[in-house]
Amino acid sequence: MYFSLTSFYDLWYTCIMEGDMMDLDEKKVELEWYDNPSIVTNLLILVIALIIIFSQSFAVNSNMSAIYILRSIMNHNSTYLLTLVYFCALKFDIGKKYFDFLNVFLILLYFLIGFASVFTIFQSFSFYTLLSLVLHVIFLIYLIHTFLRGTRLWKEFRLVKSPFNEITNEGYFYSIMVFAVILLSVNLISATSFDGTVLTLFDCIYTILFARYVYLYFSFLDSKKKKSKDNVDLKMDTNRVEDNSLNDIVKVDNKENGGSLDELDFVTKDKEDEISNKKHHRKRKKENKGHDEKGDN
Amino acid sequence: MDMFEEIERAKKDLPKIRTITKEVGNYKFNGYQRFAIVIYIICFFLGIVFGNLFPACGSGSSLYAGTCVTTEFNFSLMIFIWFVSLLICLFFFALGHIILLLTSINESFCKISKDLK
Repeated sequence: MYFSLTSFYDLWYTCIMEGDMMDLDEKKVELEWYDNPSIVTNLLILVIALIIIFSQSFAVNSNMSAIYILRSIMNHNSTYLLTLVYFCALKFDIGKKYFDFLNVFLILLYFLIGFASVFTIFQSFSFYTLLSLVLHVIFLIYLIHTFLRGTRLWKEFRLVKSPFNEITNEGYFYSIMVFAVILLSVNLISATSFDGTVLTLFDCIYTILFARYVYLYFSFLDSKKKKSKDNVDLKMDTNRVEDNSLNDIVKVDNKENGGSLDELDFVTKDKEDEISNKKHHRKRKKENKGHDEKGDN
Repeated sequence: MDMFEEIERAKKDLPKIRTITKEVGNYKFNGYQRFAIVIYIICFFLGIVFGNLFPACGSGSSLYAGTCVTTEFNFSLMIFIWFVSLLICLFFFALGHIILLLTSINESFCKISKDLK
């Protein structure tokens, strides 16, 4: 009867534990689409492909000259093509292996885009060009402070002391979102055709999705840092417990060898029971020795 | 975060800047290689100048309009000039490397012949 009760209890306990594990697995699967980096990456690839296809089809449809297509459409699509290469590379093992190298390439690309937007201001000074410069500069700083963290370049360039570390991940993301939405509204006001409106919308979606991708990687690095800190704290706690137990043993030995009572301040109740058990055990040994000596005599 | 965890397990760390500078410092450049580097630096600045000289139509909303409202720096032209100049300068750099290898082979043959004598 006792055996059957315990086996039933074990069964019930394992069922509950498995149920909890299933709930945990379900919770892991129930990530929102904007919190899942693979979904965001896939969406980015789709949006970039749509931008390139739509821009080319609109250009062909509006009977533009080849020179104009090469000059303006290619210029608009060049950055998207290069970022498409980056996101497609992430889907393969070689891209995952050389992730840091790809990030350096992406940072250089956005540095060049920011550099180009400075020259654009000299060419045509307007609210749109100013906004695009500010957006590109924020993006560049965000990329540097996200993708270089945890790499050798972070230590070599001493980016720990950078003042931009004060800005939080949410601060970067929401500021980029706000600027992207303002740019979208400025472009929509100046849009004269349906083609331009569609392209502008896709540009805004791409900007927000890209900022989201960088946000997810930043939060991944934060969670990794937190986990390693927790592990270090756990190790320190176990070392502290071991040291304390060692100290207790040393203090008990000192007391038995004639140490002061003050040293016993940190001895716990369990240790007191241990001490009394040891004393009792030694007394018994002495008594047994005495009996044996009497027997021998 | 599964994608990032996979990347974290698989990724290779960046090389140290000191190792790169040491390797570049130890390499002895030929006359042809120095010429190729100088030409590339000139083409680098030329690319920036041409990008500014031949601007493209800016802002996606006015790309398909009859008139260009804003112009922007021609980023694609700059990248194109950099890429083409890189190919040409790489060709000259490789030529210089071949000549360097041939001269080193010639020197080693001369040493062997001297030792034999």
